[in-house]
Amino acid sequence: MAQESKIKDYDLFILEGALNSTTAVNLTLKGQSTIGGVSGVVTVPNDFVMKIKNGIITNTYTATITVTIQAYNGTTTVPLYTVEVPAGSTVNISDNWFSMTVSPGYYLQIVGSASSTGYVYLNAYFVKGGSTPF
Amino acid sequence: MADLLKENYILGLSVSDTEYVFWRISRTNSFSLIYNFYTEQNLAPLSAVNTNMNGYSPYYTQVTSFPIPQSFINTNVTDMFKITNANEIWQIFVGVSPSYLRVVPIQPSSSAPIYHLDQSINPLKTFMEIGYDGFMSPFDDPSDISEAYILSGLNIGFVLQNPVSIPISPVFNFIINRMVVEPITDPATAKAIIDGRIPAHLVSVSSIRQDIKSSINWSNYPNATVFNIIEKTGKVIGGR
Repeated sequence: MAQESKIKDYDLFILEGALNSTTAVNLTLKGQSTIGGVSGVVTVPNDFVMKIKNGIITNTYTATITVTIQAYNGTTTVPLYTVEVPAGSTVNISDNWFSMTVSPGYYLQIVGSASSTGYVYLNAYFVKGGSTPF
Repeated sequence: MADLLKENYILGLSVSDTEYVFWRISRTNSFSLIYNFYTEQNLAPLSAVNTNMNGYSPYYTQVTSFPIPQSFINTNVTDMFKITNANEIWQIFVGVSPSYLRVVPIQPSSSAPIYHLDQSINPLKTFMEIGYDGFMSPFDDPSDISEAYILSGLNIGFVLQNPVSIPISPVFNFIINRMVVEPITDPATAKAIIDGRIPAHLVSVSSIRQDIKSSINWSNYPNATVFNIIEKTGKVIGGR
């Protein structure tokens, strides 16, 4: 897709969230480009979709946990990706094999398995287009 | 990719529906300039559009409002946005970052809407098809849609709009083609250009396609000659 080939580092923004057991936690904005200190849920605006480029998931708990990244629009939950993370380790999600698309009106959440602690960082960007990935 | 004019090309600037001023380009000097609104102007990030898309946070600026920082004035730093010579015209292209930033060219010195054609266009807040964004004119490959021309004493206005749900910090990548020009004063040459016998690049001043003759004082540009193109007869009338 031509638009995606134009995506550069300056289009990326960082979504972050801390795992809280099986409670769904909203991913919020870490910063965009040179800007810091801004946070908030990033809802995909109309006429755009959000793509996840890459990220990391770190488990600070003492046992293996399962982490799910999901999209949520206030009503509907759409699981996008689930991964097992061993105790004390970090899973790197590289752009080579990681591509998720989030529809307009949705924002991202993370859910862990029981007792999960840790954190998630994702690099995301907006692409213009009205497609409905899910 | 931006199509830069070169020496000996002919540039025709339309100033109204029937009037052109022609210039032969004698020297050019092109470069790119990255302009970060955050570092240069302390521009706060453009706020996120609210989630129900009820409003933009438009920010208005002009090219001559892109000065070098005050602390550099009187130092040996060139202000690339300052045109002082009447025989210079700048051809500029704008690459937009981040890609979803929307840039709407408007009449300079006015925050009123957009593209003064037969009617002013007041876009619906969710209507994003006005102007261009970084998908249409990428940061490192500015496209023809962002092409604009500036003469000394004139200006180009932009409105920046953030259509997405996060604050963004605009950065422009200007490709600036500084051109030293000589006015064409011969009506026969002007006629040949209009007839297509002499190739020329025909454009409008600024990025606004409209009748702007009233806002240009041609006596500021020595020997610039306004040619009246009478379409029915193909006749070209020289002189101001």
